[in-house]
Amino acid sequence: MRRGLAGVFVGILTLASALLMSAPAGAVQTTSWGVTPAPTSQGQRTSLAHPADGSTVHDAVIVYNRTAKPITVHLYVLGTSYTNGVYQFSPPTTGLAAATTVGDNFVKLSGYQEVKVPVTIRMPRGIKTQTLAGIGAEASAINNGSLSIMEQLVVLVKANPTDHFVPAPITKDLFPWALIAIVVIGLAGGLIERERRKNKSGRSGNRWRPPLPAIGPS
Amino acid sequence: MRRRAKLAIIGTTVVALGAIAAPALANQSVGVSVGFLTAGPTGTRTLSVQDTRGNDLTATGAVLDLSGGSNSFVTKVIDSNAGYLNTGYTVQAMMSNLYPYNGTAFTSCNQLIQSKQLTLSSPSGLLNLSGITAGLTPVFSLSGNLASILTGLLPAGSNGIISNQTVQGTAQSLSQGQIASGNAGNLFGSTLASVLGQLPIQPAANPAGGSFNSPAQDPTGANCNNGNNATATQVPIMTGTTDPTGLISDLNSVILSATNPVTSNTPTAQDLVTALYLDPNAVLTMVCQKLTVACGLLTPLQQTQILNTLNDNLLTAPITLVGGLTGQSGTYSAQPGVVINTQGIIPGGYRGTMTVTLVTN
Repeated sequence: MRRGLAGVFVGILTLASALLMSAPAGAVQTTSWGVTPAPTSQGQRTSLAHPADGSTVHDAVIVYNRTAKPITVHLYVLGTSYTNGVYQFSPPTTGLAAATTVGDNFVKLSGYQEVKVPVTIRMPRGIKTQTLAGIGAEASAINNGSLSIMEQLVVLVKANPTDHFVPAPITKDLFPWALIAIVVIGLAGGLIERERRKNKSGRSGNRWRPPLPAIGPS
Repeated sequence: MRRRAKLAIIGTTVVALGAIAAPALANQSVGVSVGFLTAGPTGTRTLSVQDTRGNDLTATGAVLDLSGGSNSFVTKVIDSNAGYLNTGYTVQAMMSNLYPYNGTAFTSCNQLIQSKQLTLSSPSGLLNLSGITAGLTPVFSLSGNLASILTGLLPAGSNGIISNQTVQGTAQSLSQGQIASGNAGNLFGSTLASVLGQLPIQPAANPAGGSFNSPAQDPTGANCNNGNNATATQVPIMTGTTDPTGLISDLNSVILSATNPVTSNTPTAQDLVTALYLDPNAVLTMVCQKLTVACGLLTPLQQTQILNTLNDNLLTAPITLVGGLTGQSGTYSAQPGVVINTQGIIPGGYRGTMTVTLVTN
């Protein structure tokens, strides 16, 4: 009986190990770590591609450790363009890169751990051609010999032109905040009107006045 | 009272402005969720950088030694489990300056080897491919006269003719032997060149390489502030572009071989169903929609007759594909060389960092 239970336990452990060893679908990885766009309801993806409709997109990437050793993966946004068969990178100060933020720049992973890191992208509006940014990922180089080799993986962020007119600017993200703002401004207006009416009714006779100094023979 | 009202108005205005500004601030608020690697469709793309003996150059103890003025290494892109999707790749490199290194620390920021003194070459003759497979879904173009089979069911005016009506087939997988004219081993040199147009991911035939004119950021510990990864020169090593069109003739040949049609190059729908390229229900649904016939009224005999009558002449109406690749596997290797222009360099030990980047297009 005990032996049977032990067998079941070993089986469960084996299955769990197999599960832990599987990389996320569509992942781009090195031999020790990887990064991939978080899957959506449509399935796996290889980039963060969205229509350039002016909305703010809340997306995510998954960073994972393929080994038992802890590792730190550095995530950062890159200005990105494709020229002459190579991706050119630049500081994320303009364009889609300036509108992209990652939720954590240094992701610490324990053995076989995966972490979902939010990515926020303010999509442009009215573009004619696809624009790019990149989410770069790298782990520390191991210093060997005259050249240390570092591996960098880049997940592309793509803003795709839309083929229909996109009305400006009330986005779904702004809507609840705009509603709150309208209610609050309405309240402020109500208070102003109330005060104005009070003042008006005071002038018509009921308004309190300070007592006049007594006037009489000295 | 008036002062209280004024304060209230100012307060609510501030809150209103805060509400308007809040979305910008909300974008800054982030959370990170944590889990462990879980199972699922496991298509992966792996970058590996090795020395020419196959040792992982990012592992502790592995060395790419440039003391002789040059050396070679191997970059590999490995698409596994036929699960990676319809996507090409670019592998490129950037290089830091090399600084004097005494075995434990960097000793100078001035006596350096500039990155532009290093040149990378990646000849197309050293490209090597293996284990190529492609997943794809064919679309057949069926024709045939069903008038005599559907007597009494056809609406008035219908001639019962199906002409080049498309039906989506079932997902298929092609092996490297089927894709590369029987070459199941490594593909390189003239063999690779001869099958290049048939591959699902086509490596660029032009030689890559170049000089590292602008340096990447200094190697860890150098702190000389001479480089920047965001402005470093990116030198191409290897690119692959997804192009499934070359697979059409391969799959056509495989289908003809598997169905062995009596009439040359023209398998019937039943041949395709028997060889598991077509779902019979997909064929019957197409017929019913096209000819405005109630599918529920078709007898088993009529269904069989329809499948035996409709056919696809694969020479005049070859298959097309649904979208791009539905899966891909393969190992794509390049063997770049790095050469240092040693002119003016003071002999000694130096160290720098080369970053190899994989971008999935």
